Amino acid sequence: MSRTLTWANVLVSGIALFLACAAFVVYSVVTFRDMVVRDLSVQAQIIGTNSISAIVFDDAIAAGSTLSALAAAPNVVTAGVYLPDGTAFATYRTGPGDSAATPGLRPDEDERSWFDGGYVHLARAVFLEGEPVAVVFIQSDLRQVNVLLIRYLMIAMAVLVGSLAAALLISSRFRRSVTGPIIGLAETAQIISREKDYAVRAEPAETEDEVAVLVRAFNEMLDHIQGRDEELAEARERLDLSLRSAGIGTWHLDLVRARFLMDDYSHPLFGLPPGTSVRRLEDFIGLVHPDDREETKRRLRDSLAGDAPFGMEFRVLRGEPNEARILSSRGKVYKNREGAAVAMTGVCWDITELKRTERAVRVLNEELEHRVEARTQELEAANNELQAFTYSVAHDLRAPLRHIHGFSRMLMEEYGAEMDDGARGYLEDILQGTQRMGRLIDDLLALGRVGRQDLSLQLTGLGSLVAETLESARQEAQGRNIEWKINDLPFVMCDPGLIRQVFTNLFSNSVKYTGPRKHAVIEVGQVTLDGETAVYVRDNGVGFDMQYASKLFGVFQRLHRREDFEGTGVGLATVQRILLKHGGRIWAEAELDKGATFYFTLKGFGEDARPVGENETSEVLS
Amino acid sequence: MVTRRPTTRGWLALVVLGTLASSHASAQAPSPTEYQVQAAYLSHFGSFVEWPAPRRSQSTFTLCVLGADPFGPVLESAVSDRTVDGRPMMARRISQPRDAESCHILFISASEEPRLDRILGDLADSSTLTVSNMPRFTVRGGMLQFVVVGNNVRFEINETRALGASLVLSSQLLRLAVAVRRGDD
Repeated sequence: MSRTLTWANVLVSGIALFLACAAFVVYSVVTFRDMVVRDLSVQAQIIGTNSISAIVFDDAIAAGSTLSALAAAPNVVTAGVYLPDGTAFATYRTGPGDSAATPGLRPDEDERSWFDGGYVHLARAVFLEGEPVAVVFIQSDLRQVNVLLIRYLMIAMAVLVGSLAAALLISSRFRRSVTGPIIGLAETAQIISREKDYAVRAEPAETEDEVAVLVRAFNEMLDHIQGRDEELAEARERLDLSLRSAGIGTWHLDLVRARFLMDDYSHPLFGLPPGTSVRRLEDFIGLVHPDDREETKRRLRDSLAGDAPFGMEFRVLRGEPNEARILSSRGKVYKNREGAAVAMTGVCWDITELKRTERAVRVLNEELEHRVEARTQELEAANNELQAFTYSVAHDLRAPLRHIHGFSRMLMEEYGAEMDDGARGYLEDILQGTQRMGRLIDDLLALGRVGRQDLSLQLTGLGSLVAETLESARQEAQGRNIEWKINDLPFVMCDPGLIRQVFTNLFSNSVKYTGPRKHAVIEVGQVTLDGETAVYVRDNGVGFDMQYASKLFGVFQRLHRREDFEGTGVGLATVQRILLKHGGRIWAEAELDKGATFYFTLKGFGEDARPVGENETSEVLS
Repeated sequence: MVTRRPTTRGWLALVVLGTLASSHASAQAPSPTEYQVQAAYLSHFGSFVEWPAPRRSQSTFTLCVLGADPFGPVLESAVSDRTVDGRPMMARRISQPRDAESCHILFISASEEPRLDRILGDLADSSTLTVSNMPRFTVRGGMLQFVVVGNNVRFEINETRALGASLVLSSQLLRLAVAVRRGDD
């Protein structure tokens, strides 16, 4: 390759030089001929001018001596002065020359020159007072011209050869600094291309010129390629790992070469032994379950024709015995610049288990629903039975109770005075007992009623409800030192009658359990807890042990002894039932001997709740 | 126009014939063809002599003959269609020297030989080239004198007289002269 460069250099220089020399030589020849002619012309003119007098005064000898001056020009062979009719007046001769030549001049010509037979001839008219009186004729050989021509040619040859030699020399020196590195670079590139070894680098150039830049850039490029290769290898490994772990196989459809490729992870999905080649799309379709083949083909076609990616689930038959597995596949279409689809790459994985699980879950859900329904129905039936029972029992108990109470009272009124203290005491107990029982029955009936009743919802201001309730609470608490703190309460959709019962009950409890306190404080207000609005009733009464909080709302559950505090144990259960019916709930927080706070929420809180404008300050009952 | 002139051999023949035909006893009596040559020479002298400015601006170039005209129509044919410096040539015969004021070249005929000194004296101030074929013309003060050498007509020149008349003779003319007189001879 270096030789090519060298010889290319030499050839180029050679051709250039040769052309230059050739042009030069040709030009020299042409100009030299012109020069010779010009020379002759000048000589002829001089001779002519100097011969005029000799011609007109017929002095041939004088003319002859003028001609003899031509001896100074060794190239002149013959010359002469001729009269217009062609006769020679005077002649000059040094050699044989071309004797055939004659100084013929046409009437309109002043001068004529021609090359013939190795000689150059020139004829020129001589004028006196505007009239031609003679013709000067000179004949010269071309020896001088030829000599000069040969000299020029030799110089040209010498220059040519010398220049070529110099070019050759410079070229080979040049080789070292330029072509050397370039050739090295080319060889390195060849090695890399052949061995695919991107670790090879080109040797840096010695000089700091464009070649060095090229070599450096080449090496940097190789660095990039190596880096990319490594990144690519890593990425591929990661991908492989991911696919393998997930059990995903990839496939590739090449429309240009009409080839279908599947990777090794796809084979188990289709029940193929590893290494099976699936070459064409038809083979792939053949692996799909017969019933799904049409759909698969259709979806593929649609995807290739349109823009939407390919995605579908299809069955395949695999294993012994033929088991239908479900595979999910997704594919992406690649289009060329004209918008025609050229390839599609996709993945597929086994979703059979997934499907099964889905189905099982669905089935379980349905079962569950059935069971729940059945259970609900049972519960409802049981509940209804219970309510009916409670109701009838309570009612049926009422009558005999009324009897007992009535007759006891009559006994007390009519025969009380006649009884002794002991008997009267017994009768009092009986009366109290019947009263208590009556209360219990009433409470039970109320509880039952709550359960049966339908809600009649209306937008209610809880503040006004509380105000109403407060009246009867105060009456109940006559003689007590109770401070009532009533804060703003919201409006809400609820059944006012039932919610009134809630407040009645809660106030009653608060009054009761603050009994031991000299100065009772009962507070009502609203608070936001965890984003939901709640109404609270707080007292500084005896509280309760939080350990037993779960029992608070149970029927007949009492956390205090009857000796300390009266109660049926039904009130809070009723309150809870009312709130549950409203879609709310109730809970309490308390500390023994520090007091208790009952919180409840209603479903309408948050939607219709509006803070109320007025804020009643506390009143102290005296 | 091409002038036709005989070759040297032709001259010889004509001269011999002329001499044979001549009835004159004097060897110096010119033949008619000799006068043809002289007339031709006269018509050519104008191209080799430089006249002073005033004479140069004359519209014609005048050739005059003083005394007995030896040329006859030969002179007319010699000057016909001829020019000097673009001016047409004319021939004139005059009888008095003072008529020669406008002449560029004056041929003094041999017939005026006895009066030559007076004639030359009258012409002293004029720039006229004096030519003659009479013997001892240049010795006596004439500028150009025709002589026959062998078979050819040649001429002698008195350059001093020419320069004295403000005439510059071309070297080409001087070169061809058989004799050139300079200074007081």
